[in-house]
Amino acid sequence: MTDASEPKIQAQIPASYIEYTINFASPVIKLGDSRGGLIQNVLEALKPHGFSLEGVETKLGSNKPSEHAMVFRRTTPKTPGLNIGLSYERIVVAADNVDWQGAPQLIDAIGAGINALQSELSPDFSSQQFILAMHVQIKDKSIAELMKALVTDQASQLVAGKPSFTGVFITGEKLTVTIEASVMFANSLWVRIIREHDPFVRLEEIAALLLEDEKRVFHALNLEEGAL
Amino acid sequence: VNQTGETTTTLEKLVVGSLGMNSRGAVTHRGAFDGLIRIISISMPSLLPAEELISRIAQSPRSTIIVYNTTSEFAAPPLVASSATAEDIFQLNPHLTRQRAPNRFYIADFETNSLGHAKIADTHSLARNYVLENPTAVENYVKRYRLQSVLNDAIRPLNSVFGEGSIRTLALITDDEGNDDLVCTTRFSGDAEHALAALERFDRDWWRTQPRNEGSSLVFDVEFA
Repeated sequence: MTDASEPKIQAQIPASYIEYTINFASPVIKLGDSRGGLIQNVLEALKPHGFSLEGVETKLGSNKPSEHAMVFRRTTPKTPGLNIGLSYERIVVAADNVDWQGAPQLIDAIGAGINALQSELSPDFSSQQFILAMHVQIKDKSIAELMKALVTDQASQLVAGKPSFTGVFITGEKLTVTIEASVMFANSLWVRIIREHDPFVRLEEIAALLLEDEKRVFHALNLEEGAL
Repeated sequence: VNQTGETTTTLEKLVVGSLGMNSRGAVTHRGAFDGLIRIISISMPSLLPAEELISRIAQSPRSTIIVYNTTSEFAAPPLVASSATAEDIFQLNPHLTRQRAPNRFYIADFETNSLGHAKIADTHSLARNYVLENPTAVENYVKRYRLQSVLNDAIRPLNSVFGEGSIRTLALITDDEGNDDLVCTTRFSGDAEHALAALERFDRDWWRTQPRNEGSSLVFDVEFA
């Protein structure tokens, strides 16, 4: 629990990733038989968002259909990365270093890709999952000190000697938050916010919920995003 | 999503160190592992003999760690023993240049299954060891004056005098005359007297013994928490 009168600690996010998965109620096998038309139509829909044939990968070589996939990678700009992957059982969207300023464009791009895939394949969605993972870096306090507010002294007794870092894993209704030490960046937390959604929740609503979740995590840690 | 942002589970490349070595691409950490991992992507690793793979990684100037997977089809039989050590590798291939990365070779034993728990990083990256203020400017300065190595080497003596948990920042400070100093500031939670004594010890025992890179200005400082 943080004290409201305590000044916020400035934090920056040197790297972040999102992964958005839409699971199908049952496998859509016609993908392998009609990939020519599928690529053409999905690319057409994604073209205004920087996707091109150069970024398309078809992974159909395996003998196991569950390993078949088709990936559309954004080529302009190439970084930060944005990929839309399709298998017989799900659509997986992955993107790097997304910020809230660029969220509307990202939602448009993802929406265009998903709509095109939907009209080609007509899958029934069974569930959705959205993960935001980010390295959160601070410099005015050690992350071990920061985490003390979230972990009891009793938990520290789980290890012999003084713990060097304590993490948190909390699951709520359809939401899991994990906080560990980052191994990529100095004095940084590795935070993951994982939320399950019903099949028909729109991407805009998912984004709004994610923003609330992210704000809640920052508030709980008494952090405020900004330059260090 | 693991700490490097890997989300794919279909592998047509071997990401050495990301542990994604089977066709399902997922990995679970198993066994003792006290190192961190440099990620190197190599296409179609199964076509590479193990020695060549090791050699390529060893020749990378910032190579750190090789991970072999006991269950991976990519691992060459002589190297899959879970007890393998850096020495085992050198014995298998005496032509590897030890002096290139004498302390950066590790072997770990992993079982593939879930990317989510992999601890992956380049142990020698600036960002992992220092909080960077204006990262692009700092990284450019470090690159220009070839300071990566001295900054890597400074970590051990800094930890020794200021403590393992101390926060270190790197910032590029420009003075009134337009000269740049790269300032490494360690945040110290003790009192001023101890902080200054620690800085003096660091300076005397380590920093003064280091060769200087011409044209660069690297300053070590301390601030009190």
